Amino acid sequence: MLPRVDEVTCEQVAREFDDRGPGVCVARISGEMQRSNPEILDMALRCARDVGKPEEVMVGMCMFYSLLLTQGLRLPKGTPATGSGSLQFSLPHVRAHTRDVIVVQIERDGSEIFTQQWLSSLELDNPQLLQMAHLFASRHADYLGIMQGFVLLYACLESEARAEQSRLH
Amino acid sequence: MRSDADIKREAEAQLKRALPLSHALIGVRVDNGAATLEGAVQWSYQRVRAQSAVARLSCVVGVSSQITLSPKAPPHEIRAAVESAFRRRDALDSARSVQTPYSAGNRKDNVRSWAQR
Repeated sequence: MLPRVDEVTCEQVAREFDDRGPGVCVARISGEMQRSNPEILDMALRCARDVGKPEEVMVGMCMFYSLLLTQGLRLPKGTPATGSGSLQFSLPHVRAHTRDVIVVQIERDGSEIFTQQWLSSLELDNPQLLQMAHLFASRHADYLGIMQGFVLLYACLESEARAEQSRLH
Repeated sequence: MRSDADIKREAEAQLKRALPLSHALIGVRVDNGAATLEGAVQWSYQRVRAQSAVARLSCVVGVSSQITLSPKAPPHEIRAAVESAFRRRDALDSARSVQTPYSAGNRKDNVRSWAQR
């Protein structure tokens, strides 16, 4: 499953964006998405373009992705700094097939139920990530559009994580 | 002697340099060269950095910070915000379909179109 983002990571990522500037961070994280999650980058860009002010919205999309990535990279307490699998942590690589499965879910349930269901999952499994999404979306005119963008990225990453886990067992 | 309006502009520019992500959450008032910072931020470092950045300006005679830390939104509030945003969108769509009865019908389902390849 996806890492559960904590407050320390939230502050760390906010500081990084304030230290380096959002433009530099968006370029770095978009590059990381392009390499390891092009499907996610494509969805984030489409959402940003459709809700308006794409550069601003991409800051939120990249922060969201960075929170999960940074959380996964942080070593759990007591984990030795060498020889740990978490040093090689990466988010699940979302496949085109997973994206298709998500489209089927949206067509079957409708976008409102889809959004509500995945919001519940965020609320339960990743409340800090939900806070970040809500705070960011609250500052923009199209609150719902941005929240749906976050929910879509989360649904794809979490579905891929679950699929990876079931393939391993 | 710089005007308060000039000092305010300079303080805002300084805030933008110090906090390129979160400067928009902070407002500045200037009265006779004394700056007051207002707004709500998420983290303490943002409050501290904002105050020290504006205090460094030679044209500012003093800085008072009224910046607060924004409380977390309880999950039920987030749920309600999303729910009411859906209802606003529905109302807007209904109004549009009354105004243009021969239009294409329902608003494009954004989330579905973003997910489609």
